[in-house]
Amino acid sequence: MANSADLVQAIAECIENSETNKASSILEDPKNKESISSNCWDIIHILCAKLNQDVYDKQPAMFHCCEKLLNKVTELSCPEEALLELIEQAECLDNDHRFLALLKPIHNLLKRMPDKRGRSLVWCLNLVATHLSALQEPDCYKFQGDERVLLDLDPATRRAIDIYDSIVPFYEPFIEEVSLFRPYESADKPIAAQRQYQRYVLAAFLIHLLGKPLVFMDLDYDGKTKSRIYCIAENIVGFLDHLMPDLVPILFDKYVAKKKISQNDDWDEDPLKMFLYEDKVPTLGLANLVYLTLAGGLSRQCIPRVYSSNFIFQIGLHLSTELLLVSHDLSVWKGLQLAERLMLIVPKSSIPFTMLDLPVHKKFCTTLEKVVVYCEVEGYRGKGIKVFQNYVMLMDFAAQYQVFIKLFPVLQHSGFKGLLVTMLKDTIRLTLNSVHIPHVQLYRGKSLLKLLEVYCVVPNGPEVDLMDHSDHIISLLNLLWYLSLADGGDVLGLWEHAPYLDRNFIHPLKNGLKLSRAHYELKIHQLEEERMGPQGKDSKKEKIEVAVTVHGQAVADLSYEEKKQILNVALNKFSIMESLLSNIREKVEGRFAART
Amino acid sequence: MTVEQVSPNGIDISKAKDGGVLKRIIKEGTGTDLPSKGNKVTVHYTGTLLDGTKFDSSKDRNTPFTFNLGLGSVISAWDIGVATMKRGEVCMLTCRSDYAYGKTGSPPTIPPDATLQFEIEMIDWQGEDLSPKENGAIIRTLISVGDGHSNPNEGSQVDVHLVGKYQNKVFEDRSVNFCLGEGIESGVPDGIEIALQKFKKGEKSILKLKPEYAFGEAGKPEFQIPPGATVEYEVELKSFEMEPESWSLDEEGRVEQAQLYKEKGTKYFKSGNLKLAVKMYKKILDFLNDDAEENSKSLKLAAHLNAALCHLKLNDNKDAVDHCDKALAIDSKNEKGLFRRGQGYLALAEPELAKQDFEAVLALAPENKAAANSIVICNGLIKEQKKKEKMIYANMFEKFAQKDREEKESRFGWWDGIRPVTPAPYRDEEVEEEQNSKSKDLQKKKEFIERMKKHKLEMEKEKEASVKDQVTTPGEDAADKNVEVDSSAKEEKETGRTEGPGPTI
Repeated sequence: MANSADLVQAIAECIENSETNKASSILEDPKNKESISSNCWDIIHILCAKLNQDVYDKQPAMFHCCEKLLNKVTELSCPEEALLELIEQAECLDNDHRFLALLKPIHNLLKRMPDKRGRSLVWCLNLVATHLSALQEPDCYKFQGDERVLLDLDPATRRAIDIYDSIVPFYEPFIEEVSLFRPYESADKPIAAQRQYQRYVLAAFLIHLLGKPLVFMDLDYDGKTKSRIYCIAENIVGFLDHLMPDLVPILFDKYVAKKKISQNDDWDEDPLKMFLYEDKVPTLGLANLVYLTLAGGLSRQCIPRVYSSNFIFQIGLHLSTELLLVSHDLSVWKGLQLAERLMLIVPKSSIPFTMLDLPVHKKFCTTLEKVVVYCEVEGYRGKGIKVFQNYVMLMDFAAQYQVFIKLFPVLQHSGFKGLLVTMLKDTIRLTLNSVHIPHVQLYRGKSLLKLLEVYCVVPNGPEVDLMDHSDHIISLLNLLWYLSLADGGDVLGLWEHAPYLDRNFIHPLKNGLKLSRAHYELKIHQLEEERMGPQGKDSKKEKIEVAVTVHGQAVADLSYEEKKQILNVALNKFSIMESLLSNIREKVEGRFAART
Repeated sequence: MTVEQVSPNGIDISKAKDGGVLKRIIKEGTGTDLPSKGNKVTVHYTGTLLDGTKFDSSKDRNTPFTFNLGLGSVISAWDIGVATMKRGEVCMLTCRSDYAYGKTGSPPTIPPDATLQFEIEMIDWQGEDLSPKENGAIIRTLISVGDGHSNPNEGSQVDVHLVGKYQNKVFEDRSVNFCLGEGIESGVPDGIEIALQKFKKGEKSILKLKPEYAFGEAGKPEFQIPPGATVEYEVELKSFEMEPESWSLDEEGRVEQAQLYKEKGTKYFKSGNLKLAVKMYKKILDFLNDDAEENSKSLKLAAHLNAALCHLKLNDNKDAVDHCDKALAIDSKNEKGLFRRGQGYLALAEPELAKQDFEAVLALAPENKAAANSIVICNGLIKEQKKKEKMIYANMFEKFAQKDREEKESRFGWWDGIRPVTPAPYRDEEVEEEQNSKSKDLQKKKEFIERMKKHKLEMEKEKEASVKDQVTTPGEDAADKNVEVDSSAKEEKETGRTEGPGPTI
């Protein structure tokens, strides 16, 4: 066929009439070689049009033929031109079949142009990253324990796994070329710089792969069978070992030193800077990487084993917080696992209070509070509490003091506050009999009183509904009672300040309890009346409102019994508080009398 | 003298001499230089367990390992060991677990309580380059590492000690307190300001500054520094301003912070930015809220006094009185506190309370003329008020209107001419240094006050007469009268104003 326009026409006709054999014979014909090369854009366009779901389902032979023909065409044509057209055709976010079918010819083209790879490689990797980011995120199923096996059946997960499976081999040859493990002796600086650049680009895109949606998938390994997605993650992390000798400085700059990117920074000069850009190297990708290497048990060559545990801890804490912040149960799980692991690598009582000036500590604690209070998976909540307890145990006594005094006012949930109070009690108990531990003076006399001042506050004065604060107030009263019993000789020097406590905490609390109890008793009384009273007569008007909220949503239509139970629980709690309070008052007054 | 024990693994180089870090030189290095803290060190290493298992090596990756020495980023055995290595040296470090990964190890490859061996080859090191363009124009060498992680930012108040050297001759040695970014006003070179943003609290370092970050092409003749000279500074960051919620601030840290805010407040006060100054003084109080320590007490006292002064100048007299109350709660015999509260009361048309305060001042410091003068003013006002009261109760018709007026008087005292002039300013060593220059004005004002007082008394008589006239006019509505009284008073005030300065000129 002499005329190239005729050639395109003929191929289009063959494809249209499903004459695949004829089409392939045209393309196979050596005489057409030049025409094909010069018309590759048109031919690729015709062939790609057939690569869709419909053809894939109904005419699989046709689909595979087009795929094969595409490979043939790309072999014959000029790589730069064909590549551009293929990338354009592959930008189809909802058509996985076409995307996957085009990956192979793109791959072959790239391999054919080793010298001019820089930009074209970035384009192709960008194509892959965009396709992945557009994938639907797997849903939150809130499974725990064995149920989590079911996660692999999620359609979004399955789709993502299929794509990841084809993408990973796509990277392999390019990584192999520039691998750190392959000694490469060249005095030629530009070539070395080019290789370095390729390494960084590949690493950046690999970290991108570890971000969404992979971070929302189950990447646990029970030591027996590896899931498909775990193998994929393992491969990706393995690739990174070939590319990045040391990830820690990047993580440090980005999260701890918070290095800023200036506008005119160009990573052509210093390719390492590209890791600071969130859109190039997403935080979730890095966080997932750190989770996989530190907690997931994958190879961690990119974190050299000479860094000190404290240093890794700081960095890990940032990334764990980032994972906890995302409201997807599997990301939260990873955050918890990572945090748990971090608490193990640092020896107990080893963090001095000067380390606490990193704002991440506050962020970590408040984020963890949210998980512990609001996470819907019970196992995660329990784990969160353990992580938090271990976290506080990592500090020395001075740092613990700072955490106790600074964290309490920023906490929001009474239950979590109660946890902190209980931990404070344990710490005081530890210091009570040992005079020789460093910083023990902080838990004595004035500075102890100062600590208690922060805690012993009746929120909003006596008018407050103490039911909302009952958890931590009960813990507090327990603490005070414990102190009054255990510290008979006033080692702590607290009872000197008993009048202060009496005035600022015990009295207001006593009054508050009276008011709250009266309020709830009235409600119970009204509830009884409502039930006893004649049906229908103004009953709607005077209905007692009892609102119970679970996860931000009110539970509707509580029955009489349920309402009564709720009110009685409140009264019960008041009784507990009152009993504790009277015990404490007795002690306090006894001491007071003894002193005077 | 103890003889150092040499084990087959080499010499003990740990500080405590507990055998935790042993070093055996495999190949001697060249020269005599050793890297110092903070230097960016480049090494090759191979780490093995005692049984010979290799757990990590930079050589496998064909990339040397780089880290900052002495900052705790690597296991402590490395910070100790690498600091003893010369260029080109190869050594074997044997690191006991307490100098490495301790009881927990680093699973899966490093078991708990493992002693590690590292073969380390020192390739090179460089001073830490802090210049923005990374061209070696600001090189830092640490002398002592600071605490924590925070660095000062642009705009934070810093307290530093500088020792400037040129060709090993000290040309300046001073402590300076300034706001980062405004160092030029205190004669602090650019390079130091840039570098300080990477300093930690308590850090002491030597900075080598190229001329573009020091004294430039002009040099500095007063220090005998020629044009284009590279100078060296020894800089210590004593303290800097941190976020109040920072978890690493203890007792001492908070007092330090408060001190910085005080400096800042004084600066704002001097530049006339009173509102910002008040903010800074309030911050001091936030930091110290209920500290009872001695040094924080004096700081709190100063904060309250200075805040009161600012409030007086801003004419927020109620706040001024509040601050004075708090200051006097700390020190009931504080002269400034009493005087300022007096001024506040005077401005709030409470001459009797004011008088008490001024009298207390005089009792403490009989030479205080400003207080004496103020008492005279108070007396005048009290007299006037008494007269007024007499007049008011004498006229029962006015019972209701009076109530309104009283409110108005306390609110708009100045409007009715009750407050004659701003009371005499009072010298305060702490924040009012700039007022020294104004002492002449002060004298003039005092004279002015005297004259005004006389003038005032005349005015009072006139006013009284006019009020009486109107009050006794029958058939008029009380409210209307009130308005008229006001307007006549206003007129008087205005005339008073125009006439007032007359005699002084």
